[in-house]
Amino acid sequence: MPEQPRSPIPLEESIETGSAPHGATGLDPIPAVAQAIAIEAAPVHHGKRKLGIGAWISIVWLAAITGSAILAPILPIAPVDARYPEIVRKGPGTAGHILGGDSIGHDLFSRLIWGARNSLTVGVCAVGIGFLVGGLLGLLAGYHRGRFETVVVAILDILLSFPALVLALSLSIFLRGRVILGVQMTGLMTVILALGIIAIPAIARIARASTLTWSQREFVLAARAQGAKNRRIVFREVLPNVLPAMLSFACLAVAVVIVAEAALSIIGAGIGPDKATWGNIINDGRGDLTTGEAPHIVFCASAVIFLTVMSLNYLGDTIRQRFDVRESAI
Amino acid sequence: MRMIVTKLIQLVVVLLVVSFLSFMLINLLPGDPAEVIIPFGTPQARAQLRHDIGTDKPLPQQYAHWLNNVLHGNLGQDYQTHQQASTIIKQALPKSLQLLFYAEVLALLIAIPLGVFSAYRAGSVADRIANLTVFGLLSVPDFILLFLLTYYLGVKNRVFPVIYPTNTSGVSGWFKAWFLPAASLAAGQLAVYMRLLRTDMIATLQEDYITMAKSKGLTNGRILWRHALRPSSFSLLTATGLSVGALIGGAFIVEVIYSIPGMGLTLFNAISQRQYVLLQACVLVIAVGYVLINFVVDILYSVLDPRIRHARAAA
Amino acid sequence: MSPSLRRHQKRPVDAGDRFPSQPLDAPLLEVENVKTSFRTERGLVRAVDGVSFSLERGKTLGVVGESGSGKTVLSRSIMGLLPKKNVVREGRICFEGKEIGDASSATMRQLWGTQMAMVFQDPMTSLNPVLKIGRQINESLLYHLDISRNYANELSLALLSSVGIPEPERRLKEYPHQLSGGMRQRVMIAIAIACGPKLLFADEPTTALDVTVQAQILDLLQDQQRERYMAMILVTHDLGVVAGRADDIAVMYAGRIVEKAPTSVLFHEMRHPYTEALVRSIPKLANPSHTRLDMIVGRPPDLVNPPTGCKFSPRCPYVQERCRTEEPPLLDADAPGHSFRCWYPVGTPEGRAALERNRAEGHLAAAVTTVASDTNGASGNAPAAGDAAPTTEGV
Repeated sequence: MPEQPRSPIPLEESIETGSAPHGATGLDPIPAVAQAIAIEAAPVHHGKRKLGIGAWISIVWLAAITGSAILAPILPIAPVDARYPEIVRKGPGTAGHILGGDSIGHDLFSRLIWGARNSLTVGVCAVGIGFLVGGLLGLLAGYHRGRFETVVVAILDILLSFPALVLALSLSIFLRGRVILGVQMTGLMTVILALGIIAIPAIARIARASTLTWSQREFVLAARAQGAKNRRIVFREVLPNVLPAMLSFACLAVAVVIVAEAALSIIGAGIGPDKATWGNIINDGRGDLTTGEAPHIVFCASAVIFLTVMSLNYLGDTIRQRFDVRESAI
Repeated sequence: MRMIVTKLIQLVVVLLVVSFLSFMLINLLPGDPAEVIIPFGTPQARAQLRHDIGTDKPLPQQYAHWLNNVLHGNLGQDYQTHQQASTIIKQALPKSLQLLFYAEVLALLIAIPLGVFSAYRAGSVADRIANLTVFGLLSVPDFILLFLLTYYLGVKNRVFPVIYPTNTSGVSGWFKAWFLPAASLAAGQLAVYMRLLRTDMIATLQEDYITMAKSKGLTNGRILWRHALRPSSFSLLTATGLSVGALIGGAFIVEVIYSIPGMGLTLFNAISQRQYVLLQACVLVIAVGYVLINFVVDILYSVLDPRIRHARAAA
Repeated sequence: MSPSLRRHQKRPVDAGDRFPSQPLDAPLLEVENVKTSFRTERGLVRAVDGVSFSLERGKTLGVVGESGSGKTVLSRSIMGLLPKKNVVREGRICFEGKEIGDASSATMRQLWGTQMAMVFQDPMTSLNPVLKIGRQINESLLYHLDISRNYANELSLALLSSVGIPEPERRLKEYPHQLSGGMRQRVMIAIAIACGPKLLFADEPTTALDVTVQAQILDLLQDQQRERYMAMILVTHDLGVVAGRADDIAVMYAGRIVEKAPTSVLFHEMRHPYTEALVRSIPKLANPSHTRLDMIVGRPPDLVNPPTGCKFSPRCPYVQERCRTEEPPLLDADAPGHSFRCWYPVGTPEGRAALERNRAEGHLAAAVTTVASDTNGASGNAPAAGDAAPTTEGV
């Protein structure tokens, strides 16, 4: 709450009222001294803290899932489209097929790894697009202010006033099969672009807010006073400070996009019905879950999504906390 | 008063833009809207359609015409089924609202006591367990939770229906019918609300006026609920408003999975059957609803916090 | 939920349930060797380190010291308002002959409001911003006394007028932010005295206020205290505040009382160099304008690793070898009720000799310095809120 600035009172008057004025340096020794001890007695935060076990589990899981997704073609797993009639709806622990098979006899384990390939590609690329466009917009809007900022913020607000998944679905339907910049949109590209566009406003907002605070810092003013060019200030002074907050947000954003991709797949607007994605595996297994015949198909895919999302959330949280500590230690 | 007028003007502007974008949805489609809307129609039917939706006129005129219709409750007619979009939405919207309401109430009913308690006992074992659980909930997508709940409470133990029953009887039937989708939607919200409230409450409990309340000799319960909850609930309120948007997205997929004939399923069907007029109507209704809810939250915000109310009145 | 959360019903106070009253001639409050420390990452902060005093009914004790001297912690320790976590507390606190030092919150709750109450430093942050004034006053009335809402409202109205708030009916329906700082502090006093406590703590009640209203608030406190025969502990960093108002004054430094005396004795026969320094830093009307004010150099001691010997020795102009190694006990002075902690007391031959020695050696010439001050007050000697950062302007 804003406190009214207190008006200076002539000293004589203050003596008549029975108390000495205080506060201004040199007049009264006590507050100055108090200030010193207050600083000294404040609990000391150490910026460097070891990563907790949760963070390590997250890192290991993400590394494993990313690694196997990249190496899927050379891993000794069943080919992505191979079908084994003998394992249809068989549960985990079937000989030679560790997680069993899905409703049409795909090896579930192999399907999940190939699914990771698609799901992670969508997650990383869509967030990449979001950052490239949204981050730049937010950075420039936060730094340059003025009319440019007003327009950008207005557009963002409007975009944010549509529910994201509805917008993603509409986009994914309208983009599918069209030729954009001379490229025929495949299912994968459609989903990436749709989700990337959805990610833009949220990322731009965060980038703008973060830029706003940093561009008022002394070192930015100093750089400006030294006659540095705007472009240099934005990319050399502001951006490196905005990035940590953005990195934390990126983790969360990838998690959200992975879930959104699965959601699109489940309602039939994903990268293609026959493709291996986590969402498709769940969608294909839905029937077997409600009949109670083979719930493991949905459960395994759900577990993989859950662990990935949880790891990304946890990591994002950890990064944010570290970032906060650095902030509050100043 | 001036604050409300300014807000209202902003609201009208945003609504105009949102409606324009919804209107443009059909025009953004590749190719001739008439062909998109009636993929298999005769040339006469298309000509009739072009005249009906006015694509033979300039765009602003088309928009004005469309907006006028919308304001009179005419959201257009589907050219395949010849159903009025407004009729369909009138049936679907209450279903979605029930789901949202159920989910929000469920989330708040659990999140508020949990958040208050966690803040009160911050750092205790119970608080840590609550936090961990809630962090886990935050990472479960609603559709996955719906699958899990359906399997355990619907398939293995037949407590709740595995799919939305078309007719329910009585109040308990209503609660049962909606429970699984509402609970899956509520879980994520609950986690967000609980964390927000806990953080704010911990900060509030360190305020001087809490020590003051304590020095009056009030019980902890009274201090928590009467003195600490309201000043701690502003972020919660904002989040509740904003999350309605997130819930609409979540409700969308939950409705599709659970076959609830609400806005989500209608939208889904409209897309898959290429009923673009209906699609446009759905998007318009959802977006307008979203904007209106945010507006209400903004107003409510100032009612809850007298400081904002008076600051704005003074400004 | 814990049982304490569930207990919610009104607690009517009947004669038996009330805290038993003691004979009126016994001291209201006796404090013996109270120690309060906080566990921090750096170690144990000894905020209060062995404080003893007693307070008669209807009397006022002024507790004076720099921020960080432990005066606020002392008052909160006595009232039992400190959090349980990371706080270590020892010593005996007797209220009306009953030991309350390690009483549970449930026991203390019977005392809070009805037997002892506190006026906090900053009325802006100590009143709940989202509750109406009336609600905040009649809340404790309704809670502690078995009265109807209407009667509680009437009492609130009467309380507001008695603390000098004009248009009390209107104020009852307003929120704290709609009131000025002085008004808020009046409201706070009304809340504190609502249930007729026997002991009132006033924790820097005027620090956050404009200088012009400070005296009014202090006068109000004094009037109410006399009218209701309350004992009061007036905590302040400003000797000027307690000068005409306290019966006794205790000067605190580094968590202990370094000098304690009846007010007039303290001002005329001070024995401790720290008291002397505090008295010198009060501006006096008799001095011509632009007189240099004395200030105490150095900073208060680190309460985690306090200096050995006398805690004031690093900043003391009288300091001798003995002071650095051996801590002086609380010694009795000539006047009754006057005691101090010093080996080389001010105003004694030993003290004068010590000062002369230091002057001669010259190494403490800097210990007592003066700084220029603009006594016309034109250059921003605005009082800062509480112990907030001192402004850099002024010198």
